[in-house]
Amino acid sequence: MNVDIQEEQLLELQRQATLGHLLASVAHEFSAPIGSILSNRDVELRLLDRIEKAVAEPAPERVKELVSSCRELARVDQIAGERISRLVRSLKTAARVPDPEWHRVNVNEVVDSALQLAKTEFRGRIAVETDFGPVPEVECHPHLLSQALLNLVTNAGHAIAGTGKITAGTRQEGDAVHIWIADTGQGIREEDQAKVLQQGFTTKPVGAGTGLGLLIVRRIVAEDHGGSIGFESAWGHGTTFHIRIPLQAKRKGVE
Amino acid sequence: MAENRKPSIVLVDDEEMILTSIRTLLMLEADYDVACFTNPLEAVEHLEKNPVDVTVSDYLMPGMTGIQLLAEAKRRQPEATRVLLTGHADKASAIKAINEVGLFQYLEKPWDNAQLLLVIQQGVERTELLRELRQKIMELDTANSTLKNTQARLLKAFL
Repeated sequence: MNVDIQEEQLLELQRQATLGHLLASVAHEFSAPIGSILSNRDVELRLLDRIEKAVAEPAPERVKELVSSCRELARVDQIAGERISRLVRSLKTAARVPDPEWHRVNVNEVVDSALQLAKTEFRGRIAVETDFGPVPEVECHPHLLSQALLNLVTNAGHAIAGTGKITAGTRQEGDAVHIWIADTGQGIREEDQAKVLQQGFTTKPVGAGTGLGLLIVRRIVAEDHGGSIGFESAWGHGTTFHIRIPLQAKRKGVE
Repeated sequence: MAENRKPSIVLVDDEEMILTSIRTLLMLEADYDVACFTNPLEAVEHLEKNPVDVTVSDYLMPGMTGIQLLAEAKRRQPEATRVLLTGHADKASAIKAINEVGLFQYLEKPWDNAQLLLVIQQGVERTELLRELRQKIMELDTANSTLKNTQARLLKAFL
């Protein structure tokens, strides 16, 4: 696919690429401190148990109160820490280093991490539902697939003006995995539908979109993975994108 | 264990806080000798001189990767168990580690303490079993050659 990219788009892509690389190392930087915090929280709970046992039986009321307050805080720390660590995991999945090798991955995990990340942008405004089927592992380039799904999910979010819902699902269909991302957004006008998968088409204001997002998705799905992409849309009711990725990679050129 | 010593654990991570967290957990929940190193080269030196049951190493460290460190550990004490605890999402390096250094377990940060305790405990048991097995094989070898000698002498006596 020959793409004639405008200078403006190129700058935007370059900026995004830089941020993407940075994000990967930021995610890695988080692993140690969050790992340490979560572990310490667990050890603190274990210590509280020992302290309670070590204090004379029956423990004075005041000691019980103090220990119970500590437990309560540890419980909140657990929830807070797990939220950070889930995000870090999603960031790591999304910001994978480009790798020319094929890998077998669970598509549900890739879709889920894209949803987790997109949720941070649409928090409170958009509900996310999943309908993951049992799917076999797919031979793919995980960093590319991850990017395609992230593009589709953020597009879905941008299509929803106020509140709404994004539904993502997966099923095995023969020798492929079918992934769909549905939104309850504004939909695509009938006259625009033919142009959606072409280069530079965007309804977003200048600066908000490069018009390359879906083009990149199409390229990743169809050319890099030998899969297919399609969509159905009703103006005013939302859009559903369908992509199908073969279980076995159809490698380009000589292998 | 032959000499009745406590199981010996080596922890290697360039982040002091990780070492403190795991060391505190192990001190509370298990009875191990724990040696911690922020510098992988010092860990290798320790492995050179002291019997170790389980080595738990980070992946990305200055001077040496976790895989290189565990390869050194394998060369010095092949029966000892090797565990990689990494914040690096790179599965390819994990597979490489499993193949190249005979990795026992690959754990990701943030880790689950209960799981880490279990992995280390299983690692200790595995090392003990392997050392016992090696001991038994040596004993069998000795017994076998004694038998062969006896057989040879018997043949000589009767022929």
